[in-house]
Order: sequence, then C-alpha cells, then structure tokens
Amino acid sequence: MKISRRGFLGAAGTGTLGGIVSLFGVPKNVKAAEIPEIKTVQTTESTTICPFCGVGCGLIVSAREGKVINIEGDPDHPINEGTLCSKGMAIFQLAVNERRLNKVKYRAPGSSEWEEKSWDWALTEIAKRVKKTRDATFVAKEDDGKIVNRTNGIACLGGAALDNEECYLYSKFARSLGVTYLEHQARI
Amino acid sequence: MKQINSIKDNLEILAPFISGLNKYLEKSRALSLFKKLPIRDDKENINERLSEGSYLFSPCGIEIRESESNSLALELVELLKIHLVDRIDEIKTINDYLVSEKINPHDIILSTIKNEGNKIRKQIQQLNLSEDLFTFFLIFLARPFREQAAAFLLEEINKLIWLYGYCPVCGHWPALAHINEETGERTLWCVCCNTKWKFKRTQCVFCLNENHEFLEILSPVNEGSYRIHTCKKCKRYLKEVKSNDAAVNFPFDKMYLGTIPLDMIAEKQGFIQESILTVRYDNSTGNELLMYRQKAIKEKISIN
Amino acid sequence: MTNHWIDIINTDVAMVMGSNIVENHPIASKWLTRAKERGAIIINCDPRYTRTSSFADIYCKFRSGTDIAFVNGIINYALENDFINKDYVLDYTNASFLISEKYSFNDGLFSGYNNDTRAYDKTFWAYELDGSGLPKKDLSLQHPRCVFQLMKKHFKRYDIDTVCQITGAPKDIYEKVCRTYTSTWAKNRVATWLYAMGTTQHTHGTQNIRSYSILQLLLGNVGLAGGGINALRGESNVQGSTDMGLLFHLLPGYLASPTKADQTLEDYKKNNTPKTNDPKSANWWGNYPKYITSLLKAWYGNNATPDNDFGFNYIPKRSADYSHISLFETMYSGKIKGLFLFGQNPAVGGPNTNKERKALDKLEWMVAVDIFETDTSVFWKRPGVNPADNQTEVFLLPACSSIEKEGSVSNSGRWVQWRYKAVEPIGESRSDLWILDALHKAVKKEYAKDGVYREPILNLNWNYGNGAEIDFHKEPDVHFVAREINGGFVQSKEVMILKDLKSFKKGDQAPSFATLQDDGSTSCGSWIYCGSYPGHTPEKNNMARRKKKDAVNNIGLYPEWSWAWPVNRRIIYNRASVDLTGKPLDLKRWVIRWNETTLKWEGDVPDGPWPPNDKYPFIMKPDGHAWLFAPNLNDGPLPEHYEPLESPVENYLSSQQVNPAVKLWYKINPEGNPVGDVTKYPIIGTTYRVSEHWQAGAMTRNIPWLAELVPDVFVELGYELANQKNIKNGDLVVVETARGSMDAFALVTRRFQPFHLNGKIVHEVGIVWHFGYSGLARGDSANLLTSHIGDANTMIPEYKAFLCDVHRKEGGAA
Repeated sequence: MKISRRGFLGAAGTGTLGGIVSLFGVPKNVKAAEIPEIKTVQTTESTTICPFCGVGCGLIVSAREGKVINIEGDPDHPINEGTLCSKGMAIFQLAVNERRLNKVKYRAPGSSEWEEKSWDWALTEIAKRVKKTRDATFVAKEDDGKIVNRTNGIACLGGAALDNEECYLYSKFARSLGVTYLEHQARI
Repeated sequence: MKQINSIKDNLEILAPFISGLNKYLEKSRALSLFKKLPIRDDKENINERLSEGSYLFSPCGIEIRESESNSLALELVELLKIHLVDRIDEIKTINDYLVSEKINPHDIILSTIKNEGNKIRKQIQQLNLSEDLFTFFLIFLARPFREQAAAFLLEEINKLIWLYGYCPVCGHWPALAHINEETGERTLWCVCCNTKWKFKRTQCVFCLNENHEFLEILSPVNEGSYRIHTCKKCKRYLKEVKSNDAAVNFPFDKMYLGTIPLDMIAEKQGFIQESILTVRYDNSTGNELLMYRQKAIKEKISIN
Repeated sequence: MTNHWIDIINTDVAMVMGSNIVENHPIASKWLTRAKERGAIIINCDPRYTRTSSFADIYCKFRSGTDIAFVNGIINYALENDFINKDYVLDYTNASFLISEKYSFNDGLFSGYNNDTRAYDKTFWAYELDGSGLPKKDLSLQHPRCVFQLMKKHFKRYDIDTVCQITGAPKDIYEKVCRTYTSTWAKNRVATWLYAMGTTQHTHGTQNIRSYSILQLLLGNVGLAGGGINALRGESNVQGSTDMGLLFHLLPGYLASPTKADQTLEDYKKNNTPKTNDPKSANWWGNYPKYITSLLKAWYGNNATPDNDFGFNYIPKRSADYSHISLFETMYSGKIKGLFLFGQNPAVGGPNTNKERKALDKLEWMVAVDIFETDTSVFWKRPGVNPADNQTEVFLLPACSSIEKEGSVSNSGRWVQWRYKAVEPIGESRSDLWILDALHKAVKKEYAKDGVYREPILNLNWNYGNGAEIDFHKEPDVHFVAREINGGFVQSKEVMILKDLKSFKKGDQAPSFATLQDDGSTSCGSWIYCGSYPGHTPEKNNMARRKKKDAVNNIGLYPEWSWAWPVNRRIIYNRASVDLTGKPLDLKRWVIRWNETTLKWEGDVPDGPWPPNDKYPFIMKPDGHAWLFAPNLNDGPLPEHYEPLESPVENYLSSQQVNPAVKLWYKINPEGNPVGDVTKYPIIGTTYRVSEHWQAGAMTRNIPWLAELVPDVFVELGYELANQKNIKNGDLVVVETARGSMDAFALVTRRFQPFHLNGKIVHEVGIVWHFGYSGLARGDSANLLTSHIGDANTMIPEYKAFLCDVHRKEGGAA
C-alpha cells in the first residue's frame, strides 16, 4: 500500500490542511522527487544490566554510528522501573572515558614505565610464563604418593565483574592449568 | 513554495486546524452519544480478557443517538471546509451526500465502529468518494463515540495491565507513542478511541520483535524528540514523541497530525503505516487482529 | 537471597542488619519503601546511624562484631515468650531431633574441641539414630536432648540485660526490636532479613547468619513471600561467579572441588554424596554423581570416558586451605610466581593491604585484565616504592566494558539476566571471553610439543565457534558457552522423569537438571543453570526473556522475565510456605498452592514436583528439615558470641575471647600480622561504602562525575570522641592500627554515638574503603588498617571490627 504525498506537499505549498490527508490517502499523482528531504539520524536502543551492585537494574543503551550517546534506566525493567542510583546514572562515563585501556601494556622488570604491545606478543609471552611456572611448580603426587595434579605456583583472582559465561571459562581454564589458588571477590 | 524542513514548521501550519479539531472533540465530550452502551463485563472478567489479549469493545447491541450523529457530521464537514481548501470539491461532495441523506451519519458511524470495512468500501465506490479524505472524516466522526465507549469500558479499571501492541479497548494499532523524558516510559495512543496504554520501549509494537539489531530509531537531524521506531523484521513503524509532559497531559491529536513529516520519512524508507491498514480492512468477520493474536499464540512468541 | 528484590514489598517487618541498603543498594530500597507504604515496619540495627536508619521505623545501635549476642537475644525472647510458629518448627525443622549424648556446651566451648588443632570433632554433635538409621525424634519437644530443649538452654543465657551489656544497645529500644520482630511468628505475618558484608566480614560471620536463620525458622518466615534470608550482593555478578566455581573449594554448581581424599571419581562420589534412609527425604544432593559426571563431560568432552574416570584426575586436588588470605600469605612467602587478575583490585580491597601489596612484589609475573589501570596493576609504582627495585613483569590486558559484549549476569535474587552488545569494544580492548579463549589457545600451543602433565590442557573440550587459532576479529560465540553451561545429551537416551519416559536425541539440550545422567550420556557445565538455555537457538535463551507479566499469585515473581536458578524458582524453600496439605500458610501472599482438582502445584515453581507432604520441604538437606541445630559447621552447631580478634572488652559470656575455631594467622605467620592491644588502640574501627563509589574503586574512581561527587577518603567519628581528640570536621587526621596507618579527612557527625559496655564507654569510627593511589580520586586505603584473620567456616576476612586510634595529623588542618 502506498500513501499520498500530495497532502504533505499541499501543506507545504498552501498552509492548509492538506498535510493530514496524506495520512489516510491513496496515491495521487505525486513523484518521489517531490518529497522534501529531511535528513535523519539512526539510533539503536539495546538493553543491558548495570555492572555495579547485585540488584541487577535494567538499562537502555542508545548508540549512534557505533558510539554510545546515552545510557538510561530501563523503564520496563520490573526491578528498577527506569530508576538508577548515582553510580548507575554515571555509566555513560564508563563507556565514554579517555582513561579506558585500549591497548595491551607491558611493564618490564625494574621499569618505571608501561610499553604498548600487540596482543600476539603478549599472549605468546604470557603462555611462555605460564608454562615455565607451571612446569616448575607442578605437583603430580604428594610425598604420601597421593595424586594431586596441581600447581601452587600460579594464582587466579577475580570474576565478580565478569559475565557468567566468562566466569565459567575462567574456572575451566584455571583448572586446566592445575590452579587451586583460585579465588575471587566472593571470599572477601 | 515554502519548504517544510522540520516538525516545528508543520506544527505551526496545522495549528488552526488542530485548534478547531480540539474544539470539536471537546464539545462532543459533553454530549450523551449512546442510547445503549456496549456490554461491560465485571472486573474479574475484564482482567481475564485483557490478560488473554482480547480487547474489550464489542459492538453487540449498541445504539447511538441520531441527532448527535447528524450534528457532529455537519460540524466536522464545516471544519474541513475551512481548513482543507485545496480539496474543497471533494469535501463539498461529502457535504452534499450528507444533506441528501445518501450518507446517513448514524449508519456510517455504526459501520465504522463495527469495523465493517467491506460495507464502507462499497459505499466509497458507489458514491465515488475520495478514499483518503472520507476515511479521515469517518475516523474523526466515529471518534467521539468510540471515546465515550472506551471511557465507559475502562471506568472500573484502576490500573490497566495490557501487554499487547494493539488497543485494549477497540483493537486498533496505535497511531502515536509518547515517551516520558523523565521516566523513559512509552505510552501508546489509539487515534480511534483515545485510549492510552504502556508498552515496552524496546520492542516492536506490531510483530513483537525484541532483537535490537532489527529495531532502529530514526529522527530528523536536530529534532531528536521526534522519532520513528522502525522494525526491519515486519517493516512497520510507529511515530514517537519524547516529552516532558506526562502522558495524561500530552496533546496526542496535535502531535499525531503535526508529525506527518515522520510518516513521509518512514514511507520513503519503505516502512508501512500499520495503523491505517487496520482501519481499512479490519472488520468483525475478517479480523486481522485476531489473526495476529492467534499467530502470536501459535508461534509462542513472547508477547511483551 | 532465598527470595528476591521485588519480594521485599510483601513483608510486614523488614530487618536490615549488617547492611546499609538505602546507600549501597539504593534501587532495592525502592521495594523497602513500597513495603513501608503498605504498612510494613522497618528495623535497622547498625553501629552507625545511616541513611537506612533514618528511613527505618526503629533504629537500634549496637557495637560492631556483636551480632550474635544481639540476635541470640531475640531468639531467646521468642523462645521464652513462646512466640514461635509451632507447626512450622515441628514439621519443617530439626527441632524434634535428638542429639548425641556426647554433645555439651561449657564456658564458650562445645564438646569435641581439640586445643592443639583448634578444631572440633563434629561427631560429638551428631543426631542420635534409631535402628533403621533415621534420626530419633521427640515430637513433644520435651526430651532434654532434643534440639528444641538444647536451644532453650543455650539461648537462655542471652537475656536482654546481658545482650545490652555486650552490644551496647539501649535496653528500651532493644526490647522494642525483640517485640516487633517476633510478632511475625503469627501465620498471617511475615518478616524478611536483609544483610550484607556487615554480617559476613567477621571471625564469626557464618554464625551471624546462622543466628538470623534460626530466628527466621522459629518464626516460620522461610519460604514465604516477604520472608527469607536475603544477602544483598554487592557486585553485579558475584552470585554468578560463585555459581561458576571461582573459589578454591567449589566447582561450578556448588560441587566440592576434589580433595586429596578423592583419588578416583568413585572416592569423590562416595565422599560427597549424602545418603538418607528416609523415603520422605528428597535428598537432592543424592544426585551428586550425575552433576559431577556431566561437568566432566562438559570440560573434557570425548576425552572424558569411563576408562579414564571421565578425566576426573585432570582437575587439581586440594590438600589445604587456599582461600584469599592463605593465597596472599603464600604469595608473601614467595611460593606463588604468577598471578592472573580478572577485574579484581586486592591492593585496595584485600585485608591488610600493606602485607598484600608487599606480597605482590614477590611475583615473577602478573597478568591483569581490566578496563582501567587499577591500583593492583600499578603496584610496582605505588607510593613509597622505587620501580627499579621491583622485578615483576606485568601484562596489562585491556578488557571491554559490559555494554561492548554479550552475556549473562546473575543478580542477588538469582535472576540470570542477559546483556546485549550495544557497541564494539573500544580500541584494542576485548571481552574477557575473548581473552580467556585466547589465553587457553596460546597456552595449548605452548604445550603442543612438550610439558608437564599436558593432558588437562590438551584434552580440554574447547570449541566456541571461532576456530582453533587466535583471531583478533573473531569473538567466541557466547551462546555456545551458555549452551554448554546449560548442558545436553551427548548420546541418545531415554530418561524417566517422575512417571514419564522421555527420549532425548544426541545433541539435544537438557530441559532441566532432572534429566542429567551419571553414565556420561549428558554434559552440563553448571547443573543449577540447566534450563537457562534449553534449546539451540537464541529464542530458547530463557535468560533473555523480557515478558513483564506476573504469575497467578500476583506477588511480583515475574516468572517470564529472565530466568532464575534453580529451575526458574523465584522463592526457594517454598514448600515450607504451605501446610502438610499444600494449603498456603499465608493465603493473602501465597507462593505455591496445591490444586486438588488438577493435582498440580500453582504459583511459583515448587521445590520438587511431588504432592504435598510426599517429601519434606528442605530438599537440599539429607534429612529434609531446616537445621536449627547445624552439626556440620566448624565452630559449633549453635551460634555463640565471641569477641572479634581485636576487641576493647573481654568476652562477657565465657573465657573464650575469640572464636576458638578460627585460624590464627598472627601465630602461624607473625611477620606482617601484628594484633593490636586495647591500651594502645582503644577505639573500634569499621569500614563502609558510599553510594557514589563502588568496591575497590577501580571503576568509580575513574569516572569523573563520581570522582567529583566524593573525591576524598574520610573517617567518620562522633562528637564526643572528636572533642576528646580535638578534631574538627574537615581536619586531616591519621587513623592507626597495629598493621598500618592512613590519612583521612575527619567527618564529625552525630551518627556515631559512644557505646556503654558493662560500665565502660567505648567509641567507634568508620572509614570509607573505596580509595587507593590510582585513578582520578585518590586517597589512602582503609584496608591498610585491617588484618589477616577470617571466619572459621568461610575464611572471609574480619574487615568490620578492629581496634584503632585516631589523631590529628600534624599541620593537617583542612
């Protein structure tokens, strides 16, 4: 179905009621070129959950051209019903913040500065450290001959700010190395 | 030729007509329009019907007053004559049919609020009327009656809990949405019966799609409070206005008509104006709303 | 939380103790406000008069570290006045169970204590069993060794006068608290208990919560709408991170991590699967073998076979305590060489940070993953340290923020909610999911040729849809991970569910944990999440549901909004909300009810589908009853008052000054762990948070708006103490403990009032703990003051009560 453009143009031309008719109209002899150009911007609104406390308030994030333009409480979320606390209100500055890390950094022993590095380099170097430490500290059996298959040379901390799926992979990854010093915020 | 570049321009141009229309609606609210109002269920049944997604209005047994029908019809034609000068011939035709009783206001209002689309279309053909103009005329002619029926049906309801995209009273699609700047809540509005109800911000009213990748909001540059909520899945759209006014005080009629440029933008981008579809083709026998509901239930789409 | 945030509205009396909900969970307090508007009475008990106190109907002050005395007194009040829900106590708790003749309690010690090991032999507290192995009961509750009588005796010592001498609570207000709270013993009244870290961070934190639970059970408040025991969690996904087993003693789904005693899968099953001879006990943990086997299948896939014990020995085994304090003590000793940190900032948040920061110095390498530089990741250039002297290599990996990735988080009420990606990660930052995936792939590559015990790495089941190689532009598919957590069938299988035989095909997702198997035919990453994603397409992702429609009982459950573990149950222990016929105890706010016509439960998802009284309601306990008497805890079956490690007074009740079962780090590792004496440090110190900052501050101290709102660290003290010390509001002061000192601005208020303790006047001060040396808003960390001492069961540090002194800093006027 098509809608008349005539009415709108009529309004533009004569200042009369023509405009409204376009809403209900059938095609009248109007060419596409006659439609005025009104430039528009596109916004997407997606839902998320606040990254601060454990209440789990809903947020709506508005993004335009790949950038966050607004973050507000989700009015339809049954817990917060659109409201947010001081921290929740400030989440925009978590998304748009020049202090955010955007490069891999490395600090060499004894150095007083960070150096920027590539992911490839960092991942390879970290893996080497992991292997070296793990292989040097791995205990397959304790003195009493009992199997323990662990390394006490590596510890893992953190997770309460991660998503469930990330926590799950962290748990799986740490255990694959034999880590038992695996702890996070829930303990403290 | 004056080029309209903004909603603001359009609102200014339409101001005299909107003022007249408001007077017409305001006046009608003081009248008693029904001889027999629609049937109203008890509160528990109403809540049950609403939770099932059944809208409340049923035309069964209603009777409307003839004299009020006639006077409102003539008043509305007068209003159009003054403001729609470039279509004066077509309006005069409607006027003549009313005078000659080829169009009976009482009957055509009843047909409209009963959604007898085929019957109305037949009359349009027989009398060679302009479909767009006549439809507009009918919606605002029936509006006072539907509005009064809606007020009656919702009288006992303190808090309307309705999780669907179409009107809980008359079943039509919303014509406009209001977004409260302060609370962020979205309120949908039915142009046919003036009912308002809350609906989730982040969901397509028409197909209930919630995937934000398929939902996009278009706004005129520099007029961010005027929005078109588009759905790339069902290709439909809904106009939205962000406002500091609460929904109860918001001038829906004015904004609905004033935001016509948004319809233009949406249509140019290939989106469909669903509210009009149902005005025209929805009726008691071939009910698209019913089909929509059944589809939703059948496919177990999460409604709201 | 047994219940959830919205449910707070349903309560008649809300106790907020050990939490400052109005400031630290502001949006949750909306529901408290609504409850109040409906006529609920709010009680707040806190050492400091907080915004929660000003909102409450009754505020009662009490000294930090004396929760047990305070609550035991309320329990005693309920028992003495018979303000208890008799039917509930008899039917649903272990009140009638008889306890071993070996049980006794004397001068602060339970029987079975060993002075050398500082541990109890818990068999002294066991149930007395009959010939068929069932606990003996006395349904008249008169037997002197039944739990009820033992409790009466134990709690009798906590009369109101005694409690007020210990806690410093004003007697008239305390009495009012007792009277108001216990009024909810009536069947048509219900109370909720809201607590947070003010409760857990003590040497007797577990017993604090035990005392709350005992009281709630006596009053019949558990399982009901508006009731329960509700921990207000402080981090967006600290619930989920625990559910996924990021603790040394837990695997995902609260399965115990293997110990040295578990040499085989069979050992593990035997050591962990509880048994019961009672046919009426559901004994849900009897399913342990199904859950561990399914977890092993999720982790090792086709490499988990009956022949290799499903890879059970790939999981490291513990033979000691590896908790946070222990971890840092070991790091301090130089034995830990490498550290991964994912969004944690222990240089601010850990106890005794002087020691923990020095422990970091001993590391060879650190991998810190965060969205900002944290105090911990720049520990090598912290004040007073010359970077040249520090030999630790630090890799700082940029993580993206929560709106730049997709995944789920679990809130305090166990609602697992889905978050969508709004924009791409900034710069070269990546999701933690991508980083973990890349780390595993990099390590696996490193082990391709050789290495020690490579199997757990090489045989790990790891395929998340983005190929075998690390690719900066390919995120792992988070839906793959979510579906692995939910679990499914790796072989076709017919499963009996209640009386129905259901057949599943290989590759089917599991609809609920009732379908999981112990024969290797199913895999499941965390059994309690089974049902969160029971299909293959995003439409089946229950966590993403957003239907805002209430359930038939209309009590705010919103069962189709997100998904709650377990099995979308919104109020757990809800079988205790009905009588033995399935009729709700509270008809107005019913949670579940048995429909006699359909023979089905209505309302919330019940704790098991069985008809009323077919099974006992507390299905996670082997005996099916809630434990008023808990014979499995390290520090006693009933809560007993002990003083914090550092206290200004002697224990009024017994010669046991400190919880006799806590690990005394100052004795094990004296270096860096001094304990303060009341003569030198006469003031009680505690820590707290403000609305504008969050935890260790890594996020909020880097947000300009928030840093501007609360830019500096402060210590809050009362007028009396301030006058004594000649301190004025805004003065720069020094707060000192045996372990460290810090500078802070003085905030002099009436919110701290001195305590009158058995004739002695004692002051308390509070310090905000969000601050550190990194970020926009900087200041000294309050945890420079706290100590390495933890709870006897959980090892959670005692942050909330220590001894300190305060004085003006020389030349430190504001």
